[in-house]
Amino acid sequence: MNLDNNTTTTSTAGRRAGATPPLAHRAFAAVAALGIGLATLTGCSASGGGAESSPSASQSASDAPLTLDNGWAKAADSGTTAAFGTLTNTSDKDVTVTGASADGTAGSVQLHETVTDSTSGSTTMRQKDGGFTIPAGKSTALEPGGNHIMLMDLTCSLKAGADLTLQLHSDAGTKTVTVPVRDYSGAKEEYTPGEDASGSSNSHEAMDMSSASPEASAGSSEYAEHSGHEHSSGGSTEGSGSSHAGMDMSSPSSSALPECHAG
Amino acid sequence: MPADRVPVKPSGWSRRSLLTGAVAGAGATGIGAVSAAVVGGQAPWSAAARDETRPGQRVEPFHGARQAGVATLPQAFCAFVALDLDAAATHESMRRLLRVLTDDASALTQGQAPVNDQEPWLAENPSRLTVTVGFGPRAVSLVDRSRAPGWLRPLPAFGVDRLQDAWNQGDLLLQLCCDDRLTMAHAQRVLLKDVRSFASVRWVQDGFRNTVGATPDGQSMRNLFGQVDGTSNPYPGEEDHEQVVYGRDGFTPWIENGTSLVLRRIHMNLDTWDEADTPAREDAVGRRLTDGAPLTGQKEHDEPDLDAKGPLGFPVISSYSHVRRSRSPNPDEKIFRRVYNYDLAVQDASGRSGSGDVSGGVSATGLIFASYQADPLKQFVPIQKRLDELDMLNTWTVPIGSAVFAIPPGCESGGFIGDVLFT
Repeated sequence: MNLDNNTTTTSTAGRRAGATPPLAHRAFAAVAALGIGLATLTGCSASGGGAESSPSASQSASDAPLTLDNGWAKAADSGTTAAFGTLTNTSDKDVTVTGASADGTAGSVQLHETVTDSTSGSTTMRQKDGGFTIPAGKSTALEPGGNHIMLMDLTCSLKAGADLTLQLHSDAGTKTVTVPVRDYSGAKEEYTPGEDASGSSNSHEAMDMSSASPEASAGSSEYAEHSGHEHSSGGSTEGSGSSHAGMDMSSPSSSALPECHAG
Repeated sequence: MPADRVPVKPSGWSRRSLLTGAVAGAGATGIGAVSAAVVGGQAPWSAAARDETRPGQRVEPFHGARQAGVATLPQAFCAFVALDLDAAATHESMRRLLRVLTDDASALTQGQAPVNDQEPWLAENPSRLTVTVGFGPRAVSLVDRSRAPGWLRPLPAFGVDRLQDAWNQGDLLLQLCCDDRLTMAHAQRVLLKDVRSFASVRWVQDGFRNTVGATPDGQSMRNLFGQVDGTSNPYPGEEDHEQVVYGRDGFTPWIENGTSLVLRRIHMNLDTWDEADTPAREDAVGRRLTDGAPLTGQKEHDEPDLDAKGPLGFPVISSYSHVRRSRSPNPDEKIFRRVYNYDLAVQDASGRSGSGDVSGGVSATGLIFASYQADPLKQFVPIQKRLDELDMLNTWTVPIGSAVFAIPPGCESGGFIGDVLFT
């Protein structure tokens, strides 16, 4: 099952890589990882105006030999969300990303994979055992429907057009990256603590991809056929669930949480 | 018709635009390919490089001092989308919105899919896509009230107007123009998804011209009256274009490299136009229908001789003709027009539309009159006032929508449209 997903993500990584040049200016610029406590969500600019140049301006001594290209995170007013991009190991040794954090933005961050249950066909997101190992000089795609970085217990409202700063922890050190936040209707994840819908041996919390649990079983065969496509359960996907990226067109500040800002 | 009906633009507008247009980058080539580390820049062996001349692969630059979509050779299709900002919009949310729009527009116009594009293959043929952002009064107010130009408000009322609020104004404008309708539809969808948490769509005006290659290079567009449309126009590269559009020598632009857009939706009553025969149609305009030449000239771009008299002593170009009435002795009163046709689907279309009607008959047809100038009040309004007072074309045309937008400058890579107003 994982092979299917991996195949999909690899090809997508190739496509996205082709899109690099014009996006590079605001793709995941590295920021010095001066300490875990410094990881914050930044507004569009720390320097008051040059919104997109600030992340790269703060690029400095690298630690973990990782880059995250064409990265982005899904906007969310509260709860959970996810971050994506093409994660590349720029060194000549394998690197394993073991975890991530987004202090000041999310209570916890996990590395997730998407797996399809071999009997029910239902697709489930769950914490990736052992993290993401990236061979020397290779890339892996983090994307909706595949591997991703899961943010839980948001402590502020993550708005489209803002930036999210993440720290990626690996066996080769920590890397801090900043990604733009975008509205997105897919990548729906219902957090169901203590329930492992996939039935796999893994005992971590599972993320049911469906937005309503009754559909999870009814639509299970579709999931199996369309792994990697999050909207395959049929029916309307926009606006359902708690996602900010739905049809909430008129009340951008309706959430209870304050807007994520860096001041 | 003789070969000389195909005038060549004195400016070489189209030729220059096409030759300087780069070719879309590697966006179309990476599918199923290798890792990000391997696909670096634009591979010379890419399909895009081989397909250099394919219209779908032509791109217009996005970054620069000025926004694209004004001096750009008109693409075949254009959608003008007016947005109403949410009540909760703020200075900061405007910044976020403009960043997102800029990011996605800069990618899409170069043939590359935005990071969260769910149909990235639809971005692979940019087809000279341009995205131009305009500010209505509220947008400028939120961004920097002190910079709001005095002319950024509804035009004065004209007697010929029959404005419908559904086509009026808006807080923010997205102008998407493209040589491919499918590419444009995708880009519009992507940008409106971006906009959804900031604003709602007020109106969309879909326009079209001839498709790529349908007409000889450089020929002025014909509107659905069959007229050659837009002959008298300060084209890019011509002496007065800079002054007319971006201000100079008497015109102060609202911001350097910024301009304004007056968008008028003009219903054209084809049913009553049908009642006019060729001599009456040519008399109304002052130009020949066959080639757009003035009734006193031989070719489209010949200067009309407003003093010429016919055998009976009457002016050859009549006193009420559109050509005469739209010309001003004041050289400041010039605009730069970049118009599109519209032709809406009409359900149960039948019968004929009467004089002055803006509905009925078998079509809903007209012109999306996009006029760019440094100062609408000094340039557009005096012309329209004269046409409002007298213009035989008013017999068949009715303005049904009106909007004014301030077009901010372009931005450099790393910036965003309007960023200069945030400093």
